[in-house]
Amino acid sequence: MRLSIMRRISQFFGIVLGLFGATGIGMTHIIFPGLHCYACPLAVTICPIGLMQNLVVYGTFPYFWIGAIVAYGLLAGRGFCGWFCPFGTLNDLLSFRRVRISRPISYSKFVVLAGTVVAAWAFADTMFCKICPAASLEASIPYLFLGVAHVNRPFVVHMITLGLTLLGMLLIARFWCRYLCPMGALLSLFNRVSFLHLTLDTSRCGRCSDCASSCPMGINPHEDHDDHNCIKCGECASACSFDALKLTFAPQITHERNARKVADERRAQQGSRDGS
Amino acid sequence: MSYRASVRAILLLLATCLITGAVAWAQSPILKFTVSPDDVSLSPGGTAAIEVRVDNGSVYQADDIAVSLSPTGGITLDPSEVSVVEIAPFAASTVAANLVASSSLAEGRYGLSLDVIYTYCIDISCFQIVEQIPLTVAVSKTAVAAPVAVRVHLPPWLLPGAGAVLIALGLGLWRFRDQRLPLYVILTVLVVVGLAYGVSRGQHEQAQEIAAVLCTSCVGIESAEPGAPSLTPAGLAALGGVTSDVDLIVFFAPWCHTCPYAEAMVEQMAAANEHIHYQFIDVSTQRDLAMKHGVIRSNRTIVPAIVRTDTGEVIFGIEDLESRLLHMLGVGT
Repeated sequence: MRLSIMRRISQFFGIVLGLFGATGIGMTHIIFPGLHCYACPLAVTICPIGLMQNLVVYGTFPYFWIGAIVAYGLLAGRGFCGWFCPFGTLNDLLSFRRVRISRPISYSKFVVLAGTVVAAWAFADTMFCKICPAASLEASIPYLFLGVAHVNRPFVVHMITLGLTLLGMLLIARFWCRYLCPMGALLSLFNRVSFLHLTLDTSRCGRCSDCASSCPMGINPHEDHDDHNCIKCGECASACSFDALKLTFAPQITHERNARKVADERRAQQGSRDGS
Repeated sequence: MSYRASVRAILLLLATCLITGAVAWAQSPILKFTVSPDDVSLSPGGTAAIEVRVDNGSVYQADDIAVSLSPTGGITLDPSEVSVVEIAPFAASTVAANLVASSSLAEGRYGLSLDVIYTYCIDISCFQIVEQIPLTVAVSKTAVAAPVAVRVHLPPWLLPGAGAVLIALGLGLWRFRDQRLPLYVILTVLVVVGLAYGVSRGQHEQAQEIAAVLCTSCVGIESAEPGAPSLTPAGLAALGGVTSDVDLIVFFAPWCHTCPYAEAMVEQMAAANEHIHYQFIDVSTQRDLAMKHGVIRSNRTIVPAIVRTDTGEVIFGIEDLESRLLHMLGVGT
């Protein structure tokens, strides 16, 4: 089965899990491996960012939360952004302009993550939830129709953040995932150790940059394939006509970060020998 | 992704689910009792002190915990019953009493048991639990009452500290990232210990409770009002129109920032008109009642919610609360 079809099926399951409350099941103990608001009327899973803020407010040391996040990180790292997260899927659906990523600005998602924790501690409230575009889409709008929410100042703030985020997604592919998502920031910490990862066979790489132009996150997979911005969607592997990039599921016991450098050095040595 | 990689992924997911499920299943129920000393020594006619430590490892409060001694010839408890009014979730309490032996008691080992009776409620369903704690008493003429053992309790910073050391160790090992096996071991230990210890402390229940209750201000459906409400003169005048008894229920959650405002508003209205009666109910303790009154919608409990019991009308949130409450009471404009 083609990778892109497998990914769409997986994303569909992400949405199904996100809306599983439609079956009548109540809230479970499962922490969602992505950004999905637990206030959504059909949610059966717990938003990791919402829970994190509540635990900061209560001063609870989050053993259960840490265990779940590290487990998700080990399994797939940011692979959940590319394969499962419903808000990531929305980003995907609006990915019309695949521009290059700004690496310095992409660290802003870590600032958002740190700001979320600090704001929860400083105001003793879930401040990020009040501006979260996922909450706008999955809670504010549904509750307006359920007669619980009203068009008031917090609702307008939600709609503004949602509008700006959607605009950003239309202008820059995966805008939210690239620059702002705190859950993406958390999972990206595990990108270099996650079982789901890209492998690069440097001997096959033709440096054609087909992978770079196909990447929705705007990174160069043939230069840094386990970058913290890589969502392991596998678009680059599908686009690679030399079969140099592959998406695989295994421990990254041997680190390959310097593989490119080593290959370049070998080529240079070979070139100098041929020249002499 | 290859077929083998897919099988590996599925197997690992299954293993994670199995471990988490097993840990959740194995968690200890409600109250745990520890008697010290484990082995009590008594001389005929003598007295020995004992302590019973009660740990509540659940998310439910335990009430009216009473400890007494099963009837046995020659050994009594002084006082005959010791009790604790309540133990909050994840809290502990200790009760102390004396075992008294009659002077005619023969030497030997006696197997006794302490009877413990306590109550806990899940939503509106309450359960009375009776448990027996075995206790061995050695009676001899030469026995000296053993002092109550001082149990060493782990300081609260120990586990977070251990976690920090583990993370620091991980970061230290990061420089050996060409050989990642140690890092994988550390991360796997972190997953297993984090999930197991978190579940044993009931953190999964805590997480579920947080997610299951929608506090309207928490996700920005409305603003939390900073101050207490004050009824407007027009509102006070309109309240005079309530001439028959009305019962209101205010459903709240302890962490809800808007709930105190709703509670204060209802209190003020009840103070202004004796026909208005009210009660405050914590939704986490009375889920069935909240369901009955329509406070749970689409599996989500929404707070604050004010219910008029005779008509079944319900108001969510605090937006324009005075006017909506007056309308509910049938005296709105």
